[in-house]
Amino acid sequence: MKKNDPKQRHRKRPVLRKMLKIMKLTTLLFFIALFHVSAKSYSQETRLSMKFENETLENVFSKIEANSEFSIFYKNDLIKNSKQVTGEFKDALINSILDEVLKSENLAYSIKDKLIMIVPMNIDELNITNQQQKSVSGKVIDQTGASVPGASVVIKGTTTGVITDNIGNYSLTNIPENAILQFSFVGMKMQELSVGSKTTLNVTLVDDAIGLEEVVAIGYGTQAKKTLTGAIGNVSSKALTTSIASTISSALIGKIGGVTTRLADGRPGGSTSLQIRNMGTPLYVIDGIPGTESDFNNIDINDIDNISVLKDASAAIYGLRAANGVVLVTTKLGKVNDKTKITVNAYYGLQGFTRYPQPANAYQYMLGLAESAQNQGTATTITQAELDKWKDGKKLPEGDYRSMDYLDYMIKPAPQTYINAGATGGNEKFKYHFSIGNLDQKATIESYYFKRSTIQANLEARLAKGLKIGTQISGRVEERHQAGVPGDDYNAVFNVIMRMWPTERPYANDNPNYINNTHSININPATYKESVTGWNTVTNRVMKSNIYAEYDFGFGLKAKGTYSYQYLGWTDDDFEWTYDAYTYNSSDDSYNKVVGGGNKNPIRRTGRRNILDKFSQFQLNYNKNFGKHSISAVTAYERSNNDNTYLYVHAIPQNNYIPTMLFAEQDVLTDQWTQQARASYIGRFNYNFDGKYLVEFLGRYDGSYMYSADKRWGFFPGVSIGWRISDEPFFKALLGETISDFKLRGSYGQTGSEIGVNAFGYLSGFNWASGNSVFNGNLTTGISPTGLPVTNLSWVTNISSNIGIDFSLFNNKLSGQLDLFKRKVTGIPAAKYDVLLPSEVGYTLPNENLNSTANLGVEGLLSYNGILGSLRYTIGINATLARTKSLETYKPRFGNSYDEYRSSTESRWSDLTWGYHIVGQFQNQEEIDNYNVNIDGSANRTLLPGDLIYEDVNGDKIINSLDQKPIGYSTGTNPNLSFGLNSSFEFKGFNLVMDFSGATMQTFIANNELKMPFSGTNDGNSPDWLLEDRWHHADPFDAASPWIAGKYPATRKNLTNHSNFNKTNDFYLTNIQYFRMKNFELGYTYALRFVKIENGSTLRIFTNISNLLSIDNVGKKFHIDPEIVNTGGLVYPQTRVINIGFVLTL
Amino acid sequence: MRNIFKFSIFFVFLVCFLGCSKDFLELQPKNILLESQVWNDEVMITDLLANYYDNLPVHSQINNGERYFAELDEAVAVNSLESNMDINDNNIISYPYNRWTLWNYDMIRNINLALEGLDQYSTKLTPDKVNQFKAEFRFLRVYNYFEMVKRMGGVPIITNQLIYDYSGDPSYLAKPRNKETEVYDFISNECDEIKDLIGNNGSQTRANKYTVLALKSRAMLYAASSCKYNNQMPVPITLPGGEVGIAASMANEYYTKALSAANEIITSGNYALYNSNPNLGENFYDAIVKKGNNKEVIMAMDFNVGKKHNFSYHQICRTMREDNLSSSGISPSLNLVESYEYLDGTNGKLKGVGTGSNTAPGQSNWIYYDRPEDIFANKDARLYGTVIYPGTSFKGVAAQIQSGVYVWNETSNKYDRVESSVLGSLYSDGKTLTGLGGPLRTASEVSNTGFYLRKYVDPQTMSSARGVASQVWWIRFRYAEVLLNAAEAALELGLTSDALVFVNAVRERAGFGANSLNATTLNLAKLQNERRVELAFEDHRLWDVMRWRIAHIIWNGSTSNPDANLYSLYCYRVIRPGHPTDGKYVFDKFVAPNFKSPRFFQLGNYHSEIDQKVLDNNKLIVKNPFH
Repeated sequence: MKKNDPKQRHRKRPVLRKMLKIMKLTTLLFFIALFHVSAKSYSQETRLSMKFENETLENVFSKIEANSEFSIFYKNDLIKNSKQVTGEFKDALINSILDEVLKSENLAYSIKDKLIMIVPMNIDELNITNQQQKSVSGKVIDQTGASVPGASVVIKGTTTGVITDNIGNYSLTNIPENAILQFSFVGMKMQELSVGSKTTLNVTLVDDAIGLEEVVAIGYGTQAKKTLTGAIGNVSSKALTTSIASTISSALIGKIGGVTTRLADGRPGGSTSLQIRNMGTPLYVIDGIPGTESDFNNIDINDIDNISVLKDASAAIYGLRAANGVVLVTTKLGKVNDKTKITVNAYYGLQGFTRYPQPANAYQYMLGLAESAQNQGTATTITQAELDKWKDGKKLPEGDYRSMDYLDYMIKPAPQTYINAGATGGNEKFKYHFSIGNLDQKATIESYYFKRSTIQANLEARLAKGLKIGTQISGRVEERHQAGVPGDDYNAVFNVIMRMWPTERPYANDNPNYINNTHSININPATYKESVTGWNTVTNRVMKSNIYAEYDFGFGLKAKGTYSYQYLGWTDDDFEWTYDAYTYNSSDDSYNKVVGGGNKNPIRRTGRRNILDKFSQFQLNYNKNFGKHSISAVTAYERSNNDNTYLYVHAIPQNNYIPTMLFAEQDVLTDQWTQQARASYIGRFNYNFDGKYLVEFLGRYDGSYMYSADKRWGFFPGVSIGWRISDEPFFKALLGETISDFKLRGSYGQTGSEIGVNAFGYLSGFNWASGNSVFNGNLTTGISPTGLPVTNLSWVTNISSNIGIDFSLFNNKLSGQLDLFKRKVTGIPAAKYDVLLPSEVGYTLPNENLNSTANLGVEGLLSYNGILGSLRYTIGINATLARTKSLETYKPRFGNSYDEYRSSTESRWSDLTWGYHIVGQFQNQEEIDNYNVNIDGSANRTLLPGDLIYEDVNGDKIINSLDQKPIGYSTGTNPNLSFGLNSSFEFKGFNLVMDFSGATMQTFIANNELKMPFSGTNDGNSPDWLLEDRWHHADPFDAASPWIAGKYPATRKNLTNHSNFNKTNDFYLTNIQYFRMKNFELGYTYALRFVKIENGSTLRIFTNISNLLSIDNVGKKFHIDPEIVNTGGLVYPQTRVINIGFVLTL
Repeated sequence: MRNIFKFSIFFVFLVCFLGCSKDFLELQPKNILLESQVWNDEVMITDLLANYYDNLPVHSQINNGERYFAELDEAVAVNSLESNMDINDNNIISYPYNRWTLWNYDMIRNINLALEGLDQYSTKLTPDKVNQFKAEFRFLRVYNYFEMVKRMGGVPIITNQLIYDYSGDPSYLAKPRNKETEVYDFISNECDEIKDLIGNNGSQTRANKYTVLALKSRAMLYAASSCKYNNQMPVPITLPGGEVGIAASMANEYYTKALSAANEIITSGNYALYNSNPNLGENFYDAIVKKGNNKEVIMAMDFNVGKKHNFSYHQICRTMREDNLSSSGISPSLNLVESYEYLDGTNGKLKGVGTGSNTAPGQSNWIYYDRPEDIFANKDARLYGTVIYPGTSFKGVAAQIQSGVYVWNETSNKYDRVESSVLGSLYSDGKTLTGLGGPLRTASEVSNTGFYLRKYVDPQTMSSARGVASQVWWIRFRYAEVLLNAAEAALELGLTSDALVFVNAVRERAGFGANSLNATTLNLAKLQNERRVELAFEDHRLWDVMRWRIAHIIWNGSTSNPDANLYSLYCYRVIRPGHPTDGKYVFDKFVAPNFKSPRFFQLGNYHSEIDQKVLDNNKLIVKNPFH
């Protein structure tokens, strides 16, 4: 390129090119030693055969252009005096042809992929002849603010020009004073601008057609966005990769309208609960093959090209499992004529907790215990003198009175690193994307981490005219490593933080060689180290290969066959060690091993699960335009099966050193084997007239192994229509100026769900290995009857309807979508209760498909692309309101009106929490004595000032289940109302991304540790606010001293069924509202010019902070992250991560 | 053309691959046996029995309903991170009417199905074999009916499967409750019919003739005593249809049946009290846990390396636990400990015990014992075999039970109590302040009452660790109970001399001399106490106090009733240098700190509540009294 660069000499060109190639490769190899790539550009692999006989250079150039995809730029003056050329070439590379034809001219050339510039050999000549000329440079962007690489910038009336580099920059030197520049790019309107006296000229190209001609993945194909009739959300790789998230679902938070999320557990490698319109877990389809949520979550983010979300009847094409919507993932593949692009992504980050409740300190804890004894009228061994010592917090000769903060002790900031390197490109014959990546995410707890390595190799080769064959091969290894703590190894850690007493220390006499015999050694965090307690590693190893072949018959018909095989090997290895616990005797400075202390329960166990997924598909596609009519049709047959085997061995190892198991040590063996099989016929037909009137029919005939032979197959149809009003002449005339696009669309369709039925429920027989007995010393394996065969139950039918509009205004600057939706779920299994089968028959009536519910709501999004001088920005907001309503149940009947009020679900929101309303707290004993409603079931004898006053809803002077009313939304689920705000700003080389997400209409009910002092029944500590901000006597040892008010009821230990705690009430309940800055990223892109050639190589450096701030209503109240579900707050919350990283593109 | 050819080859391969076979969706389950595979295969029928034995209904047993050991008056529940205990069982305001409800008709149906399956399909088995299997299924059915009748009163007797025809009207399937007496008669008749068919001679894990008789003697005793004592109540609990309540005249007939069934076992000579260990306390413990050559056990739910339980993991005494989690899930109550008599036949109430009030009067009653175990000297050996008390050990490890010290205070002229919440802590004199075995007042995983459980806790090394776990069996019937059944039936029938032979045999094994009871000292109260101490933690206590109709009296919900409140006994070391009491041990008794509500058993608890759903489903079913 760089025709105007005076230093450029074509003879050196091949050397430079080669050098550059070597540099690219070494850079890549630097990051991944084994990754081998052959990155060739078009010019290097296109071979031409041609013959010239006494032809002008102009002719020669046109012939080359005609026989290849090269475009040759030159100034007419340069060649008007050239000699005529004669020569013959067979399978020659372009540079050998050019070398030959230009050999007698004083001309040089440069090649950039498919562009050839012819320049004078001696640059001085050029300068002499163009003394009046000047330079101009600038950037080309599109209306979203994204840079446009590869746009051509040509001086009007000449063939002189350049192509923008990878970040859209161009620069032209030696242009005439009055030059007009033409900027153009495929699919965009050409713009002409006069240079005048400017030296910088930035240009925004707008789309040529109305709306993007962007295509979106839909079921079994793709479709142009403008002719879409379904409610389909879409997100491209660009929007995804600005989030630093270890799993894909977490990167999607707030990015797509209609998708709700909740990250309830932030442990490394953990994923976000993702639902479409709160309908449940969607079906994930990766490169056309159904996969699992885990498959989806663990794709490397840089391998994803785009994600589509089918939210309405458009999902019906996935039939029986698509009731909750479908998430389609397409991985990257180079395009024809993409030059090889090598990308290296890397970041390093530090993670810390957003929030975690602070456990009380030793003084608060001891004071709480003393108050508890006082409040319950029991004896205590605690004295004021002792309390004073705890308050001082010093180590004294008679004892250690320092407070121990186990939150601080257990949780430390932890690093995470990520690197991914990939190569993408393509030519006529071959398209590819390779990548290899590695994520290493340490937990904020010693010995705990998550690691994932991925490879992806996507290839497509054109074997012959019309015949393509391709493959997607992906593999990953996920490793989740923890210390070998009994139980769930993460939960155990969080239990420890709240259950250890702040009065005890992890090590005897703080000597790290001696584990202290704490009140429960199991929760002593000194043992939660791999070096003490052993380890637990859960590993997923997945290899998936898809292979496909496609033949294009040339008249609009394509046939495609696909086969996919995935192997998943899951292993869970656990080696838990024995250890001892000690007490310290200060009188003789000795450490004494405690009999019965420590852990004498060694465990070695391994679980192995192998899952094979096989999938095959044959598909016919037909696309044709007849004048203004265009039709497209798909038909397919596919089937899949799944084979899942599980083997588990448990052993009692003899020592802490050898993890290999002996037969004699084994005491448990579990062997399980399950299978699944499904088959389907699929069809879709689209018709559109002039891109204006759109209609789509789709359907799937689906069969599942879950049902008996005569109930096995079902048909799930869908239809959708669209009307692009903005193409109508009357609309154009009226509003065409402001509204560039306006589409009305509606859809209606059916899907199924395999719920409420057990596999093989239709068979009558006996379950093997169900209960057992030792008969005469020998173990006899039990069998149990499977129960009545269920033959009349079928899948649940979901009817989805959706109406929506798509619009864009002000020359596509503002665009948006609005959808109203409803999914009716019918045939939910239930029993016909009016057929009262006497219980004495010993069985209940099998369920039938009787009840119905609905999910309904509205969602919308708006996005605006703006330019302000050099600042380009995009702001997008989306919001989703999705609720669940129970529609009708089988013949509801109620004993009385209260029963109807309390139990009826007819046409009612079902995402509610029922409980008790608290009207206040008792302020003094007299108030309790005079209160005429029996609150605690014991005539209020157990109540103290500060205790909760329940509302006596029905006025019967006693609080019982009849006093319940709705007090909140559903708990633990995804929020009913959620919203996202995404913004990006670009200024010169800087870019700033800020993503926010928020939600409300979901309820958190504090329980256990967050509600009951001393961890409820767990004899532990409490959050500091619970013991501090409480009702209490002024003197903890004088029950006659006055009460001092606080927020929480008076502290009482082990009284978990007290009226304060034993009912779900709204004192401990919060309707969560949060708005959090999910992601903040600041980057700078620097065009690499050190090689001088091939600009387009860029380096982007960035810093990224996730969860920087959160505005919510549970932070102050419970000091928890707003998205957690665990009612005790004992869970790995979301992390605040500060990352720095770079993206190198060559 | 060549390309099309190439593609066709690919396509042909693909089609072969897809091979649209018809039975692609017809999978064979890997863990379900078909009917045809079961009824002619003795091994499979035995497997089915294995399931039904495993699922026999239970209230509290070592691998199921463990927490209910601590819902009565034998023990309080201790807070524990991993045990199946629920400390809310220490704070039961009153027992809910449905606490012991059982309506076990799915099991009844399964057994009826098996009986019909054997009749219909077992063509390849000999008729004898079929009958033997049928007898065993009938035993299991009758066991279920007994479990129901003792909780619910009369229940519908269903002996064949009830098939619904999907006509929309299943009312023809509805059967009313049988009379309570009819159910007991059914049990009696079934036992008589199957006892000689059932085989399994000598088996201690499958029912044989004597198991059937043991069940019969227990069931008949329940029928007789609940009949007799119900009718002695000021207002007997009855239902007009006889679903609840048996005419007083029936009592003797049932006592006679109970006695004769027990007698048949006793006279067979096949069973004997375990008496192999000269240490009587250890011997009583061994009688329960020793499996080899133990002629006392008639039928047990056995465990082995392939079927283990975690009872020892949950219940092991704190000081000898072998796992890092759990221990001491229940703390035996002082009430139980004091019910063990002194060997001279005097009341078991412990002597010289303080009130725990930490005042001079509270300490006035103290006896200063040289060693902690001395207070328990000369007691019924079964105390040692059932409970770990201060000064004893288990598995060779001392229990180290000491709550604190009492330090003499010259100025106030009394002893000041010092306790610690740290196990194994030392007092400033360098000696134990609080023992490693507690007790502590509010802590988890450590005794709350000052006692630990010994009965049913496994003596094997590592058996209290989850990995190894316990293989101790759970005894459903043992000879001592048969003797006590016989003694009670005989006493009630006026055959006092026979009764004395039976009960004194049991007492002699516990260390009492020969003929420790005589015609004047023997009465029902003695036998009631005898059952309490002999059969503690064997799932008898609740049913016994119910059939004698004393449950509502001893557990009347009163804070002043010593039977309704559970007590602890804390052991302290005395510090008074230079004084004779120095270094001696004293004991304080008070309501267990964990124990919050006195036991309250109401008349409506005698017959458990029938679920509303059951009543709705069958209008012929009548409610139990008081519900």
